[in-house]
Amino acid sequence: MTDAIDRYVAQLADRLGAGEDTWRLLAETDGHLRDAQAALQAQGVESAEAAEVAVRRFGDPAAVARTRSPRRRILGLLSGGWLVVALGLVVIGLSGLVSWALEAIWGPAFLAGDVNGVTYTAARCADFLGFFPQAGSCAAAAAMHHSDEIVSERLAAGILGIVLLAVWLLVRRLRGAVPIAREDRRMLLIASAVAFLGVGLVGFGSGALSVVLDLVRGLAVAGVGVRLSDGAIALLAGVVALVVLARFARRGVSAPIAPAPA
Amino acid sequence: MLILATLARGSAHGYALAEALRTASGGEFDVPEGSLYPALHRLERSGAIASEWVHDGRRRRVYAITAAGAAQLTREAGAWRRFADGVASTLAAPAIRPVVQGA
Repeated sequence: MTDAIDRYVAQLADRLGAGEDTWRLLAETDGHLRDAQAALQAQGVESAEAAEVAVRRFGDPAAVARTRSPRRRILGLLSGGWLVVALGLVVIGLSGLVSWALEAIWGPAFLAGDVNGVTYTAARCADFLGFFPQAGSCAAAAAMHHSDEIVSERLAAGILGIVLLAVWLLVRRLRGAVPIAREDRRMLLIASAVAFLGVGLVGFGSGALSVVLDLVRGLAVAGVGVRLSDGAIALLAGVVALVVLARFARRGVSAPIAPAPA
Repeated sequence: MLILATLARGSAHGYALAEALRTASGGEFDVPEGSLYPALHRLERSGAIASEWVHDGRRRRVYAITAAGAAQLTREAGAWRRFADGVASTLAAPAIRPVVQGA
């Protein structure tokens, strides 16, 4: 059977997150509340009411968690921020892979060709053709140059993200998990979901609109691949962040159910 | 300082310490008891107190003041007494005679 103390300790555990000293604080909290409950019962207060009073005297679990250690909270926030940045870079790397695939399927002009009407100086054209003499035209060489930059920069970001993720995992393994406060976890998830969904909607939306407009006007579809690939991957990441956020919000706090007596 | 002063009278676990603080202050220091443990943990990290698990029917973490904590208490109590004396002297001071301006 669960009572107010069980629910309280569960709420506090949830707000503290995992951590080496969390267990000690929880054990002490539980012992303190049981002592307070027993003292109140000795004064004639009924068991459930005594538990409620003990919890009230102990204070709001969020407030108790906040008083633990500002330094630890900052460390937790830094750890969470590091993870979000690493995963964000990995997502950019995935976008690079998709860009690469689009370039292979529909060519560099689709991925990163200039929109109709863009021209370059003779010197700039000579630069592009110097890099890609097989292109045959300034516009084609420019598209190949842009595509090359887009894919290589995104893949480099992805590799950097993997390195940052590996460092995060290594530190976690060697030093143990740094607890991230519940409020900070929620904030990081919301920021990730908003950022990814925002980039995804703008990128994919503008890319899709450009495709439609080019087709309607009878023009060659050009330079939309990068927006489509960035947008699609960002949308996907945003949806994943939203699902994680929904699960985090829905999980709530519930005390473990004690096994029924034999 | 209040935690150190209470522990200077004898080691105690958290609940007993909270009760002792409340009783000794005549109910004036009735702070949320949950704020006591982070403070105890910080004092322990600073070396002012030490603790160990004790099993007396129920497992409890019992805290005791260290030599460094006793020295810290002496310093802080002295500073507090000087401050309190200053406040008391100010409150008990006679009325100020108004300064008469002019010729």
